[in-house]
Amino acid sequence: MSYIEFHDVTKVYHVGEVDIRALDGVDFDIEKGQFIVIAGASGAGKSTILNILGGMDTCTDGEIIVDGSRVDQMNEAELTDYRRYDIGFVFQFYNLVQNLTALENVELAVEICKDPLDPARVLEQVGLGDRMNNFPSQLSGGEQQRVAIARALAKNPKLLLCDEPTGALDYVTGKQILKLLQETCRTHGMTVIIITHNLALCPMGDRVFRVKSGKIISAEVNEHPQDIETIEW
Amino acid sequence: MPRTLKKDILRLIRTTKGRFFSLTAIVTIGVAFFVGVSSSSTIMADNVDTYADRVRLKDITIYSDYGFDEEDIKAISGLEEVAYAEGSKFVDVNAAAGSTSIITRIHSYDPDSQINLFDLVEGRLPQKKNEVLSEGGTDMEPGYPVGTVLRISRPENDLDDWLDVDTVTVVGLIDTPLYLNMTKENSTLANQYIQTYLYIPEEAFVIDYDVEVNVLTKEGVSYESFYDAYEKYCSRVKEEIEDFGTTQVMHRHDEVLEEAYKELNDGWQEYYDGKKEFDEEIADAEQEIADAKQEIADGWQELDDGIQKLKDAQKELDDSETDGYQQIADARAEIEKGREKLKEGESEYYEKEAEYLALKDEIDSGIKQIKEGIKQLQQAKEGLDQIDAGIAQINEAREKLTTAKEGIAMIDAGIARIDESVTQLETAAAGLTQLDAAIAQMDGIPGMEAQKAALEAQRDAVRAQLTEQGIDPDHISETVEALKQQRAELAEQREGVIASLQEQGIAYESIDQTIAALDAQKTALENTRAGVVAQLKEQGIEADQIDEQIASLQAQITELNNNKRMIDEGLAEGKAQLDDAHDTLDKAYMATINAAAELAEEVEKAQKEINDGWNEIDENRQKLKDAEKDLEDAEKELEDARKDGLQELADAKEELDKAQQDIDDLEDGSWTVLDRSQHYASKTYKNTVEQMRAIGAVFPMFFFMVAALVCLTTMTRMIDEQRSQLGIMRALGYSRLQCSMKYLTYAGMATALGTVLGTVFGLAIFPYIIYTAWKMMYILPPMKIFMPWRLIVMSAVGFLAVMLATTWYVCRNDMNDVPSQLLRPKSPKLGKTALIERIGPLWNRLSFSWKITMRNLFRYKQRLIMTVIGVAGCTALLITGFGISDSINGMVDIQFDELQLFEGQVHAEGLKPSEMNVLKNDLLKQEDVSSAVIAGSYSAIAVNGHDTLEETVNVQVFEKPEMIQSCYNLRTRVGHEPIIPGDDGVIINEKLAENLGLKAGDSIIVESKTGIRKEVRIAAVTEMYIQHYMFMTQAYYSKVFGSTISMDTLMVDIDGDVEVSRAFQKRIVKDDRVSGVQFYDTILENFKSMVNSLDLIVWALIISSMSLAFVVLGNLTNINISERQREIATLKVLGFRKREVQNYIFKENNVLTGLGALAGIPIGQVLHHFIMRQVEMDYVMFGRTVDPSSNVISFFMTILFGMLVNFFMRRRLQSIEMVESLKSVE
Repeated sequence: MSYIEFHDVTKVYHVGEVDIRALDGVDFDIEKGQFIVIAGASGAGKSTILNILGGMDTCTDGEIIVDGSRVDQMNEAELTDYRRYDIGFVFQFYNLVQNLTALENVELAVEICKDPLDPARVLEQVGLGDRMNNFPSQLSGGEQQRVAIARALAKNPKLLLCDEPTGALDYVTGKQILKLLQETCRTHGMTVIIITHNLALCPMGDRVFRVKSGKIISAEVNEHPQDIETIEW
Repeated sequence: MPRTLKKDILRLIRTTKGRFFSLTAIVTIGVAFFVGVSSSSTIMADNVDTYADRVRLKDITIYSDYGFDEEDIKAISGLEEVAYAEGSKFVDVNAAAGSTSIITRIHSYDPDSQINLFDLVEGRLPQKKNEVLSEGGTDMEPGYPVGTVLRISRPENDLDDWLDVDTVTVVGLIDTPLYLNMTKENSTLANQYIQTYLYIPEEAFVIDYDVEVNVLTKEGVSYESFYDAYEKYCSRVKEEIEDFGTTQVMHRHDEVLEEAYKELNDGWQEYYDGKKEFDEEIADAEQEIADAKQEIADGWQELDDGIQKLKDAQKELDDSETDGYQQIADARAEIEKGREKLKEGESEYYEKEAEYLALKDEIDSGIKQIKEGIKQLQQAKEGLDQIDAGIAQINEAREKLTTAKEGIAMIDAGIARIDESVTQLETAAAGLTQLDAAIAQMDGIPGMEAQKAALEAQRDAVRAQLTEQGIDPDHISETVEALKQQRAELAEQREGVIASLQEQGIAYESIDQTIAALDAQKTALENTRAGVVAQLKEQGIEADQIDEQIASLQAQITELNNNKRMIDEGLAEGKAQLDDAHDTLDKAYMATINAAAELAEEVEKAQKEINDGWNEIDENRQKLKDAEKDLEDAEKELEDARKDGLQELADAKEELDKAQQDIDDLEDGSWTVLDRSQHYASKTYKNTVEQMRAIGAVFPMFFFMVAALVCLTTMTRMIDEQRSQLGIMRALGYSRLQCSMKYLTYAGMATALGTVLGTVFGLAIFPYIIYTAWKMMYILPPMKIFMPWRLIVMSAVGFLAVMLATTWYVCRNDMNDVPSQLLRPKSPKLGKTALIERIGPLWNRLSFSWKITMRNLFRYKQRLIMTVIGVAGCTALLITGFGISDSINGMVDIQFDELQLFEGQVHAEGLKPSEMNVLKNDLLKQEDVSSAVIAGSYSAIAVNGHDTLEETVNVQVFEKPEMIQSCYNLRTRVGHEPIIPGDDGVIINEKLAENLGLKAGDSIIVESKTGIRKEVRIAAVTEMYIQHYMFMTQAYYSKVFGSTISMDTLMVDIDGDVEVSRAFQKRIVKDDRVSGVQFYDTILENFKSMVNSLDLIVWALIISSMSLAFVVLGNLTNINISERQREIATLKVLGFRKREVQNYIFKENNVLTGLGALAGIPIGQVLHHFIMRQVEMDYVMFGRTVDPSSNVISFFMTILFGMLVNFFMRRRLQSIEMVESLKSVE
């Protein structure tokens, strides 16, 4: 039994009288500590997979198992706890609380966790040791994303889910962020799933799922994932 | 405006319904409140103004010391600014329906009157002079109902001087603006309030002058009554009239003077007439006394004659009495004689009677013997008769037997005969048959004819024989049969006879023996009979004469009975004769008795007459003695009368001299001219209108401000949200103005809609509530809504200006950016360290979530300020609302429970100090009176020294300073420090000091009881809420005014409730010494009803504040949430639970609400203070402080509103979708 399993997961949105099948029978499984890349074009359904996996959305049908728990059967309060204790999220637009400093943003998440990491240390790890007391508006995009990652990591989650983490960043910064994520996976043994439309990033994942029209069209296994440093696009 | 833009606006409204609605709502509430409350005072004023104009309510009233006549009124009418003047009369009386009597003003009613008209609400107008119209009143306090019969009186018992009716009937009920209130002005009677009024036809008044003149000014109607312009105009006219009055009053003055002189001359005439009369009367009286003396002397003479006459009469009576008794005695002696004779006769009679009775007995025994004889004879006769009957019987029996014997023999013979006949006939028949046969044989045989003929002859002979014997020869057999039948019958008869004999016990065979026995019996009987006859013969009686013997014996008896009857009759006759004689004697004796009785009676009568005569003599003697005494008295009286008369004449002369002096002293007199500001109803109503105007002026300001704030936040948020769209439009080439127009139109439409709705709701709700509330206190006409266009336009323009200005302000900020900048997301508001973070010890101690809250609070400063102001406003309004009711309630309670230690005043004018003490002690003896303090009191004008401010004040003078303290709790309002009264100045109430701009230590000019104005020193200012008071001691009063004041008032405290107090008042007015009472229960009631009226308004305020709080808090929270939607979504993603998310957002709300509510408390105090000052009347000071509990309640109510808003906003938080909110940058 895998750490994460998706069995025939479907998601249907009702927009007016039209049913949109965002996910149309998704099946995959992920092992603990893997670095997963989910790639696909815009609207292919990759974000939906991540949202459902992250407990931010629910599936219409199918079975989702994370570390032995049936996520698809959780009610709202259980999903909240699931997000709270098991999931770390990194968004394309960081979603930091503007009114809080970098440290406070991390603390905000840590406040409610059971077994958090020390916020200051995590920030140091992501390379922001000297900018802890800056407000988001005083930080660059890459730095903000680092804060976001730090916030996700500090919760000490089971899964780190990243939705286009480099989408709003320039090439170099994006690379640094990806590097940070890859290192996190490697050093902490954290299961990391990133979503990207950039196919160039595929080689860096332990496994790569390609998504199209709500279906996994391929699931590759990289026996030797490349270091992000070596990938150019 | 381009079409697409219009479409865009409509779509915007549709998509932001909530926001558009909240903008509309705040404008609606604001406009409703502003238009509704502000117009209420106007509507109140206009309604009554219209009412007053319609019934031509007087603008000015004139009173004069001398009244008015036609000429005065004509002269007043001629004044420049006077449109119309009319005189009328009134008098204040006590009117009683049943046992309760109340102070009533009776106005004259003139059907042709053209001023102070009224509305007849029930019944009809009066036609006779004992018919009146009564006050319509309100449901709560109606006037006298139609049909009530009222007895009217005046305390001075001088009703006759005013009216010539004292019982009137209510025929109609009216409403008039002359009396709008339940409580009314002071009456002319002993300082008591008028409680109701009546209108009576003018003919009922006996006074020939008018008491007041009512004036309509030329332009009064064109002004609105309750505004300063009107008052200014009226006071100008008032001055004109006052000026005119100073000269015109002389007209009546002269008239009155003339009349007085006439009266004085009449007085002198009367005096001289009286003197003359007095002299004559004295002379007459002296003559009378002399006559009386003569009469008494005559009386004595007459008395002596009478005595002699009576003595004679007595003697005569005694004589005749003796005679009478002698005569009676004689008659009685004769009767006695008669009686003796009668007795003799009687004994004779009784002897005879005995004889007769013996005879009678003999006769009776004779009769008895004879009756026995008769009986014997009858027995003998019966015996004989029996014997004869026995013989006859025997004879009969014998005969019967003989007859039977013979009968049987005859039957036997008959039988034998029949047997023979039968034999014969059978033989004959056989013969005939043989003959016939022989004949027949011979028939035909010749030769035999003879034979035959013989035979035939033989046959015919036989036949003839037979026929002769009556037997039909042809039917012999039948005859034989019949005979045989006969024989059988006979045999039967024989058997029957024998049988009957057998029945009689006689055998036929022994019949002869029986006969023989009978014959023997007969012989024995005949022997017996012969014996009896012989016996009778022996007695000399023939047997056949027995009956005659008996008859003669009976005749003897009859005769003897006759004899007896004759004896009885004779005895009865004798007896009757004796009885008659008795009777006659008895009657004669009775006659003597009667005669004696009559005599006694006559004597008695005569004696009585004589005695009466004596009595009369005694009486006459007494009378004469009395007369002598009376005469003495009369002489004395005459002397006194002479003395009194002379005194009286002297007094009269003195009085006339005094009257002359009075006339000489007669002052010129003056007119008192009052305009409506001194007319109780108009004055109090104007106060009320002004109170409402003050409330209307202050409260809506808040709503204006809050509306602007709400608009500002809403529009800011909206433009922020639309930033990129704005950028696109700008990029497409729309001008700044065109872009702004969209938002200006949006705000404008919301405002316009709100204004319309607000006007409709405001006018529909507030004037109605407020007018209805005041209707509890005033008798008002049905409310008409006047469209307050000025207010509507004001509020519309005001709100529009505020809204558009705010919108423009927000737009301009963004418009200044270049399109490219607009297209980019607005740089997020910088996170900043708040000031509070610098305070390390505090900041570090805060929990993390508190830190976040604090940081957020300071981040959105605009919102913080706005929320705090809005919430503070709400709290302040609540506090003011509760405070108004606290102040008034508190005032009444404090005034009557804490400050004033007595319940009413009892006035006793004209009593000496000692009498006053007696009255006081009398009162104290009554169970329900707990204390009574003597004081002097009057009402005076008080003026401040510097300018012309003046107030009417109740001056109360006490003997000792402590007495003031026993009636009033003197203290300062702030701090409640007690004030110790002294002899060195006056103590006045706070409101008076305030109105006149004075304070302790200043001096104030006040009138003495007699009207002299002097300056007095204000020693202290005391807390007092209702009416103006000035307290001082007698010592200070006399020091200032140089005279003492008469102590004619008792401050009385009643031990009990209102009922007890009322009962006491009713009882005490009947005391002759009491000239009037004044209790505070009426004022108390008045204030209570005012409190009720205001309560309703207070609740309207509270509800408005509540809706304000909801809109403000709701709107701000709503904006807060939508502005921070992304942040909230992030929190959710991070795994914040529902409650934690709510806490994160609402903590700010709660802090803001709390801060606002706290800030509202001081604002509320200020606002309340301000409003109370505006609302106060001239003679009333309301409580100036808000009760702490009201502050607490207002605070918590605001918090509660905040919590309610949070409650409703929870769903908004709930509905925020994580995925949607985080998808992209806004």
